[in-house]
Amino acid sequence: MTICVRQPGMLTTVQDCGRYGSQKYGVIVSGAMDLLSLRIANLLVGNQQDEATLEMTVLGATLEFEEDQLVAITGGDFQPTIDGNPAPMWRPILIRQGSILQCKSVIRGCRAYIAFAGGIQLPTVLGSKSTYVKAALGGFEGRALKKEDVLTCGTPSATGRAFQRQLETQTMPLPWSVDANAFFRFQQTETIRFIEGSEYARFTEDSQKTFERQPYSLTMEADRMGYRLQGEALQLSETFELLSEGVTYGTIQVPSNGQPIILMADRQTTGGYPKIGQVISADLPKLAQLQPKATIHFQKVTLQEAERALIEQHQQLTELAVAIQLKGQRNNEETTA
Amino acid sequence: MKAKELKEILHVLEEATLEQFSITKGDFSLSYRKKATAEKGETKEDRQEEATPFVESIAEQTTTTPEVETEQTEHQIVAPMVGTFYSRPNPETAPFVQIGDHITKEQPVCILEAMKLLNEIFAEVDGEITAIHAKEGDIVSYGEPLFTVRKA
Repeated sequence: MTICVRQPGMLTTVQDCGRYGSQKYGVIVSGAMDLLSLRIANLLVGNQQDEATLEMTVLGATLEFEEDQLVAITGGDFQPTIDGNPAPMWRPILIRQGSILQCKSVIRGCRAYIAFAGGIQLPTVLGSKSTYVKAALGGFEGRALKKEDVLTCGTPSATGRAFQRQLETQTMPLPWSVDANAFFRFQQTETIRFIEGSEYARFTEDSQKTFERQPYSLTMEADRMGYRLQGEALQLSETFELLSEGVTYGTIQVPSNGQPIILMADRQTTGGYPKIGQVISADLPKLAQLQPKATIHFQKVTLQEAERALIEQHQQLTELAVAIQLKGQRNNEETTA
Repeated sequence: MKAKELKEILHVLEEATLEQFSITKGDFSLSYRKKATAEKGETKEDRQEEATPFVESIAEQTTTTPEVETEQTEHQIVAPMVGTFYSRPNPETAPFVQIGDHITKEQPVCILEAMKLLNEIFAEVDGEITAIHAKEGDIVSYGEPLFTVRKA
């Protein structure tokens, strides 16, 4: 259950669902940018949905496995291979002792997640294994993975063991995979839905319309902390000073130059710029899969619509969790029969 | 016999598990047949009647499938589960198989989507595809024919 990093890729970090509860002390939440892909990856190897995984960005990692290990890769397409042969994504795969998993550069989406059956054995810091690089907090020594780092995995669950047994006895991959199209399209032009932010009404009526009608593109300044956008400048009806207040994942701030910034996983805990909107939770995963230069069309929705979208996404994920567990049970029956 | 006595007898009979009862006392005679139990008997028969065709229909189903399979040249690939039929691995690629294609038994022929999982369906026989019975996006049910294969 030991894995050696041969090539770390551009930015490969350990991430789970984030470090909540310490924002009042200024501790940044972090966690996976695309929580939906992280959760699905974990489900596929029989882990708890919020277990820590590796998040890869744009350029993937190369890992060598010292023992057989069940893994799943979800998210953007990094053209993964095992010992040079294409490895399927969105399904459990068994990597044999001595084999090398290589992820190349991304061809669809922006980030991918590798979940390991049994999770990654690392201490939790303030309740999370997520890495916050700038504060050297959590994850693997508080930093992105480097060449020759060694990761250790935990003990797989019953479902994880069932998939592993099934795969040990055959050379074919399991004959099923997650319907990724039900969750993602991985386009670089996306409609992102938002609800009104606290200062929405203080923007000029023209700017409110512009924000929805004009496209905004991601600049090169788009990282785990936030996405700086470029488009028609947004204007306030009058200038005013704001006290800083809590911000969250998906908050859209507009500084004085009128170019919006969307706050992402490594966002600061508070912000003082006027907030024109808040990206709805259900659209955060597709936002996380956009690359610099991608185009965003913003679409305003009501809080009820935002809630409905999130509930629907949660139901799909629950359905998937049940389906995967059933596959594990069936595999158990087949192997014990 | 007094009405009160009769009432008592009937009451006792109501409680008893007897189906029939007759009593003769002097010039009085009473013959009693419990209706409820008779009905129960009928229902049993009814249930049996209902059950029999059901068993038959199962038998029919189980015999039809092997029949097709036992035919020397034709084989039907049937849906092993309820799901949405997809002929291709993803919308941008070519279908797994087309009419006239020669297939091997380890080859996937289609995908059935159920509960957000894409289940690959395998040919299970070597041969040539002669008919495709499901259309893209059709919801197929258990046992429904998907493909006809002329066995090699």
